[in-house]
Amino acid sequence: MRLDFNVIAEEYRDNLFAAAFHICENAADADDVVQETLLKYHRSTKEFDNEEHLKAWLLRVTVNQAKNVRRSFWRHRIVPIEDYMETLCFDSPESETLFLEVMQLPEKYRIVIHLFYYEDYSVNEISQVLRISESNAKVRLSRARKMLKERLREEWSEDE
Amino acid sequence: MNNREKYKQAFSVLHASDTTKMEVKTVELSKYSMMRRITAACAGLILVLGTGMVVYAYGGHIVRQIFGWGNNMTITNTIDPETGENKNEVMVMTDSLTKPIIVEDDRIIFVVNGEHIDITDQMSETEPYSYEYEDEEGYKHYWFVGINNAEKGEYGFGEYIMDTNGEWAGGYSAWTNLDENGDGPEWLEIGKDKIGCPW
Repeated sequence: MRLDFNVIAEEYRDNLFAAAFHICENAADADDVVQETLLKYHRSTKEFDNEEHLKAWLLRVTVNQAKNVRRSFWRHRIVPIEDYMETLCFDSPESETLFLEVMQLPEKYRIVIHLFYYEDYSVNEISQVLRISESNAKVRLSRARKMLKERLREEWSEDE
Repeated sequence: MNNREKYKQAFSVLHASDTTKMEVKTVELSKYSMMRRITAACAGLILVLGTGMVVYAYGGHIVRQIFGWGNNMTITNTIDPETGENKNEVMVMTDSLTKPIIVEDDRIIFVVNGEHIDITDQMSETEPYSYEYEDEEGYKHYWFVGINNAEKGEYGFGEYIMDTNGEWAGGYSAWTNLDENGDGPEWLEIGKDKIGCPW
């Protein structure tokens, strides 16, 4: 199956942007990654089993594109994350703190924790998107959650 | 509110820019997005496009210069005296660009740091040939050469530079084909993993 390009762009662009932002750490690069991903979908003739398969493919392409940008010399982190955060409207100070603490985690932990908490992906699904082993994904997730707990303390529960 | 709900609430503030709300036709134009991105990222900078050289520069004090890829590339780290902003200027000499891999009499020769090294049979599609050296300024250069397509004889390379403080200063890879999912060659990823390169 395939979905109309405009449906894809409208439905998934914010998800793709969020994933790209977790790797690139700046909005300009993340926007470019979203564009490149959507363009890749538009040019692709790939058929998908279902919408979950399609979303996983989009996320995987986004992650790979974002990593390419991140390793490129053309990447410029012009705006410090704290300055960019001032342009965002958080619902609460706790949300702002959580956002900052997540963005200060190492990249390989950021993207894993994002896929788990934001995209509701299982460890197995995360391993497929990132093309890492399931055990590796599990270790990264565990370490990321531990780091977050140490930084956020009572603002981050251990119930999951 | 559980952790998942807290996370979603915190990151619900992230939205792609309106420019990505585009029709198919507009998307086709986005092949120029890289140049737009560079221009946008360099707001306030001077963009000079020469015939044989591409320079991205801006007014600032030079902190350090790093030469990589032979002398094909220069990374100049500068700091804006007013804002304290730290940026990199990258210059690639495209008119005299040399490829560090040459093939002579069916031998693969890696040209680096004044050396000609026969690396035939020392790399594969999954295992890179690795080389490192320290330049006169104390920067460590880590090179990887690998095979992109053995049947076609296509080779790629990457160079990653660590500064004197042990921080990664920059990296560059070329002739590294990406697959349909945007994945780079396996040999490069394996090489970078070995040295702990973050990119």
